[in-house]
Amino acid sequence: MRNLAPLARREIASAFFSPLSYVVAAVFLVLTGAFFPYLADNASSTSDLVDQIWNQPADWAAHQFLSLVQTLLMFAAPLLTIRVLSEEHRSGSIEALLTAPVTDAEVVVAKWAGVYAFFLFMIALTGAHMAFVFHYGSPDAWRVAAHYLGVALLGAFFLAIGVFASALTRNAIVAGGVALLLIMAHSLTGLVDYYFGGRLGQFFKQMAPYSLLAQMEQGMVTLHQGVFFISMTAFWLFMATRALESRKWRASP
Amino acid sequence: MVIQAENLTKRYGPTLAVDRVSFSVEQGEVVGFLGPNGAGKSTTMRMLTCFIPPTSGTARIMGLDVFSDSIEARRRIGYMPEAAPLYPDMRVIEYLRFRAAIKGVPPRDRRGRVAEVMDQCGVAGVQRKLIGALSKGYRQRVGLADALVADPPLLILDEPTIGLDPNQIRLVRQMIRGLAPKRTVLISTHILPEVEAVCSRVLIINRGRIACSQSVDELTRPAQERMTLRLEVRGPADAVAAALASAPGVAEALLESFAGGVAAFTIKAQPGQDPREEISRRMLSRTWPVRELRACRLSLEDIFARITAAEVGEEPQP
Repeated sequence: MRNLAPLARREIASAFFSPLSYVVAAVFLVLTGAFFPYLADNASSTSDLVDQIWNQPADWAAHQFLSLVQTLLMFAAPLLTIRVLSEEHRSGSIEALLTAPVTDAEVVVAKWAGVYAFFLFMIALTGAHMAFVFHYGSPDAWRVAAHYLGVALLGAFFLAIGVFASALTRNAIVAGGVALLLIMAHSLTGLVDYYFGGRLGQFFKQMAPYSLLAQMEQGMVTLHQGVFFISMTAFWLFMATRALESRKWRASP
Repeated sequence: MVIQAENLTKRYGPTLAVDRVSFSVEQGEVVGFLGPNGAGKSTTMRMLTCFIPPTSGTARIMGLDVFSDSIEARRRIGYMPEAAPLYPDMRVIEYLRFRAAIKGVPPRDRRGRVAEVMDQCGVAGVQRKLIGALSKGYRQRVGLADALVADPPLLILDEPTIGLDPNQIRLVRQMIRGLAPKRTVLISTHILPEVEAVCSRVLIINRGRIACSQSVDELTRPAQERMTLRLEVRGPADAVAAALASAPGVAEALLESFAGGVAAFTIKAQPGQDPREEISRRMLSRTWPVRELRACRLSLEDIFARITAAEVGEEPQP
């Protein structure tokens, strides 16, 4: 991983230079911004619910807002990663990159680091919305921080899936579709428990990213969640490395 | 031995792209890698540069196996892929510094090396421009600068002059010739004058097999066993033809053209004979001024056509 620093620097610059990144960030911020006043209003009028689960409306507003953020991630992640490797395949620059003395794994991790840096920047911009919540109410800062941590971990995981999908094909649209499909599949694992129950259901419930996030939203941060998200990220980056290596045995030039 | 390929084979599914190719390249050679489109040039180069592994066979770069010692082998190669794909969103100088960094040029030398290759390749004037905004010629030269930036002992250039204008082609050739004594160069092309201009040896690959490996001199040297001459002389065509036909050593004299009192002949000599001096004597004795008399070199184009056409429709020889 000796070459990781220069590779990652270039990928971060590339992610911040890409118009697509800013289009995704703009759509993301417009959607979160448009829903934010509605969610905040709603929080102050549904006081029953608030009293039972959340200490005060500000907590609920923050929770609702970050839930929206994590839902939008499902769509933002494939869009952010859509081009990272498929574009290299399409333009042929992958050949220049991989004939330099760098390993496939270094390239994959650097690609992921580039989009992840932009992702964190995009999420940091939602701090503006959160500032309003903190200004007009006093939500539990620990809960909000834990929820942000969850969003950051979920982003790492989803972006790793996106990098994998992008390594599969030179067609960016296909890469985006595959990423969306895989992210959906992961997100819906919680439903296995709902439909089938039993031990299989319990197993999948433990693997459902959104149910792990639900724990974090309430301030319950455990090692389990960290291990899950980090190992899933590592797993999909490993798969991306394998996909990149597939050029070695594929039956087409 | 800088490159040593032994029975290099690449199979894409049922297609045999490269078939048991063996060759070696010595230190300091500039080798032209020729072949028709689809002959396996790029595939061979991709195997040598460790981009794809061979299906079977081995290749060594300075003794390092391209498969098992891939990273170390890559450190010794400056490779310019076909059409030099670069990142359009980077500036020239940024790109070259990035490439220098991943190729392991030590941080303190990077600035200097990048400045040096930018000068060498004539891209210093556009160093602040985005690569995406450069013309094809400049991009090609940035690709070449990239191949040179880590000062590798071996350069592998896939069609380095494709898409350039004649002036740029001349510049690139000059540059490649300038690299020769210190470095070893393998250059693929299908522009034959290019090979004559820069290469010391040619490897001709056809349908996945090496069809010929010879020095350019050997290949184009006038065929000793049967010379072909060209003669241009001012004089009556019929009389000249008769004088030629009767000269010892001449097998056949063919009038190519007769215009303005000047006759041009193509003369085939008898095997093992060199009738040039006799012809010159005969022309002078009749006071027909000779404008040209020379032994024709075989053109690389003829040789290439002969070698690559001969094998069409035949099974490659084992």
